[in-house]
Amino acid sequence: MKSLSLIVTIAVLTFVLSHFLPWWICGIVSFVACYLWKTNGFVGFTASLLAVFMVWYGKAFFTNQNFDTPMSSLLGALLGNVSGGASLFLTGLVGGIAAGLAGWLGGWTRKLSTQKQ
Amino acid sequence: MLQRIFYGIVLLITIVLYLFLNGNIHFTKDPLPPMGKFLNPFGGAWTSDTRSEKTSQVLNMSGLKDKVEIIYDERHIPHIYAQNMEDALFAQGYIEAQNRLFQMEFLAKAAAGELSSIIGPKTIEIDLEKRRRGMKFAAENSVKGWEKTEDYNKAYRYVDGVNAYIQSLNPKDYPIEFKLFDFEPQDWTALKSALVFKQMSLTLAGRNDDLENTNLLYHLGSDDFAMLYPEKQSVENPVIPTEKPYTTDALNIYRQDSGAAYIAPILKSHFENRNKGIGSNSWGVSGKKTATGKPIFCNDPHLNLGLPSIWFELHIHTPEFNAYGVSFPGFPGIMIGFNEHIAWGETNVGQDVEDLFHIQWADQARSKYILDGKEKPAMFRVEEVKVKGGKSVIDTIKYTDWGPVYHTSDDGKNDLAMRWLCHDIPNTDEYNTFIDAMKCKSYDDYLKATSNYNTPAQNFGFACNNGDIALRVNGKFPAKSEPDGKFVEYGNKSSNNWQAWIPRDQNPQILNPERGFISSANQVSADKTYPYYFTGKFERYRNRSVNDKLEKMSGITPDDMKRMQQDAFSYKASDFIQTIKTVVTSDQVNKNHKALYEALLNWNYHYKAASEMPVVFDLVYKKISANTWDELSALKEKMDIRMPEDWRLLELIQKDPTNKYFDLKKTSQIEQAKDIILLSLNEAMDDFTKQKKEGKSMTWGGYKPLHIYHMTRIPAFSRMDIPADGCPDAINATGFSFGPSWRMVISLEEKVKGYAVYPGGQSGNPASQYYNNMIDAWIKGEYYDLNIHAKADEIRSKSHATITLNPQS
Repeated sequence: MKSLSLIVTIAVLTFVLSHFLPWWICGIVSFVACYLWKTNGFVGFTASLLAVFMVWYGKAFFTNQNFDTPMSSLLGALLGNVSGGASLFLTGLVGGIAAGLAGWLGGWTRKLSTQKQ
Repeated sequence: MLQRIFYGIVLLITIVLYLFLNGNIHFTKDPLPPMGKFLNPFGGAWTSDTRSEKTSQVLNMSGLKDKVEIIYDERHIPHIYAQNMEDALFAQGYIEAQNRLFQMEFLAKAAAGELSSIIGPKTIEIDLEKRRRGMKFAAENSVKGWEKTEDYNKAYRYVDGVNAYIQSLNPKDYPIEFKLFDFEPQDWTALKSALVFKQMSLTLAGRNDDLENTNLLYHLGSDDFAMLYPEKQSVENPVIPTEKPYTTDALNIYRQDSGAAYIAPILKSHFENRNKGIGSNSWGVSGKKTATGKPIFCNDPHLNLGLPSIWFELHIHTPEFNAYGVSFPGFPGIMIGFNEHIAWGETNVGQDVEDLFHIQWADQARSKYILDGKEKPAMFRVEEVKVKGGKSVIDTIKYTDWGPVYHTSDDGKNDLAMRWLCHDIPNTDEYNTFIDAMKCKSYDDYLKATSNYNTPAQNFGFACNNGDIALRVNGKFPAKSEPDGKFVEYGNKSSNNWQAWIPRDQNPQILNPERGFISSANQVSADKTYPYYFTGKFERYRNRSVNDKLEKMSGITPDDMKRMQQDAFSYKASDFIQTIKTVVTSDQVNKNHKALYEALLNWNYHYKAASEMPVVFDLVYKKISANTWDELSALKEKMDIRMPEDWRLLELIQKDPTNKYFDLKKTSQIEQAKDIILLSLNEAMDDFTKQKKEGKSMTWGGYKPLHIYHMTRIPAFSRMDIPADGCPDAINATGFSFGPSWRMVISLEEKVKGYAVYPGGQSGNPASQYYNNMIDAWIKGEYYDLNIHAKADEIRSKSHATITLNPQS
């Protein structure tokens, strides 16, 4: 349940803030959320990855209809002749991995700072 | 402790990853896109969508005098309804930026030698060439010239329009290429407009054979050079037919000193000679030859085919004029088009306006050079080529009285400065040529509008609904005497420089020629009686096809003209095969090639995509050329030279079949033309049969397909492997990645009718339905009706987007 709330929080904040802030806000959100949720490395990484993957993939998926030629297929061709589905997946993955690492570090930073005290 | 070290490593990896995904650091020589930024669905590629193309807007704009309405039609052609020229040009700038912003920025950067700042190390050499050639220097001088004229403000309205669009853009809406290469559009300037025009000048007037000719003269001697590289073909078919003798005023003009060629081998240049195959057709027929009794005007410029296209189609309507045609994005006005009274277009003049001069340095540091017996300091211009993902490259270009020192040698003994007409500060407002053309109603108007045009020189074709047709070799030309400008010349005497200009009224020109048509296809401008020395690159075949057809035709309709623009007949193939036929019979070729050879002899010389014969001939011609010029090919390995032209090879086969150059150096016997032809036929047909057996497509369209590349050559944004009819010497002049970039036919009836097509689309957005939507029609030889007469309401009823620009109160 705690993990679910973490995922939802990261997803919602990333979705909202990304409309105004650069792409890397997903990392800051993940870091801070995992810091506050005191996650361990695995949970922080996985929750952040899943949350941001869903947001990036989902947003790209729905945005795809705003193009005459789907951007997914154009990006697929651009990224080495992969399918449109693969380019959508890659989009989610890039955001997800970046957020996952930040989430991992967020929880870990909390742990190390607690140890210090 | 271990945990903290591990933490530190993960932290470091994360920071590095973020910097990489954000484009701050690069791990490869050619920088990759900033993948985090680029794939971000909230602001990366995913937001460069195509909805805005179909969104109507009402905007308030400062700088406008009156309301402007821009209505896009079904093909995404903007119809601009403005109340005055200034507002129309503002709207043109706005609309071109909306559709072609990346193209405009990219062209300006390419011209300025700044591509490496967005692409990375692989374009450094390209950039350095632009710097050494003084492209930015040339553009700066153009702006200086324009700013001296009264009317330059008009052109600046275009600049304002571009900037109004750029300022309205949210970064997430930038075209996808800005995100891919991670840079932002900068404000547009008159300098950028000048740069894109200079890029066109470079394509059309930025070439010379001085280095190649000098090397050849040194190595071959004057007799062989004259024999292999004669300037005049025995059959000339000039742009301007001679109906009355030229005046001899020319003889009184003081020319530069002749016979000052610097004869020494210069070996390899840093830079490749370019632009083979670039050319254009334009013709106009008088009412005597048409079905309606009114002139028809046609133009198809053969330029690099690209995505987005080099042209942008638009319609501009004001109370003063109603014009339609194509512009060159980044530059105001309509370059090729028509209005309700006239049609106009251009083809390139091959006259050489770029000469190389040998610099005699006065010191080791190459800071001073000798001119007229005195030392003169060179001006230094430090050029910094910024390189994405790498260190800047600094090059100090030395400027002399001649121009920039373009070619440098290790020891300074063979440094060459470039005297290029396009560097000069124009005295006149050539910026306005294609703006003023839109308003013309008669030939007198058109002469006035275009008489300030300097460079790149063009054959300006014209037709009017009052019945006039006209053609003028238009531009500024140095008055030269043979062989000025053909070889590298000594740069230590200012008298070797250009001394005078051909008076504009003595440029070859004709109004309503007796033969009832005007035509130009990049051939020589005038016949041998023209008193000025013309040297350069001129076409030898297409013009014959055009003139032959027009001579014979009568009762011409626009459909006839459209068919003629698709004509794939090659005089080169016809001339060669007719000659080969007289030298080698089908019994003489290898038995297994007899049928193929007979098929070649029976070919109709049309380069059709589905035919195999063009490939056979292509292979045969290349073998004949390679086997004949074997000694020159060996020389070419060592130094820059050019091969003799194909028409000269044919002349030698016909008139001098025992010429020593037909001897193959690798054999002990002495070959003659017929031996070379037989050998080449067998080799070529062996090659053809072998490739076909290997499963290669040997139809013309499969063997030499066309490629329409995105400007950055990204395959995903390009359209490649297009089977198409035509070849460089056919009227339908296609080849590799160039071809008829705009086919236009205008019937100047009482109510003018226009038809055209270009191989691309209006939008620069690769995801747009208007990105490459006209390519298929172009391949099939179809045309679109050009809707110049439609009232705003008619267009609006079928429009997907309207932009209303209101003046800001």
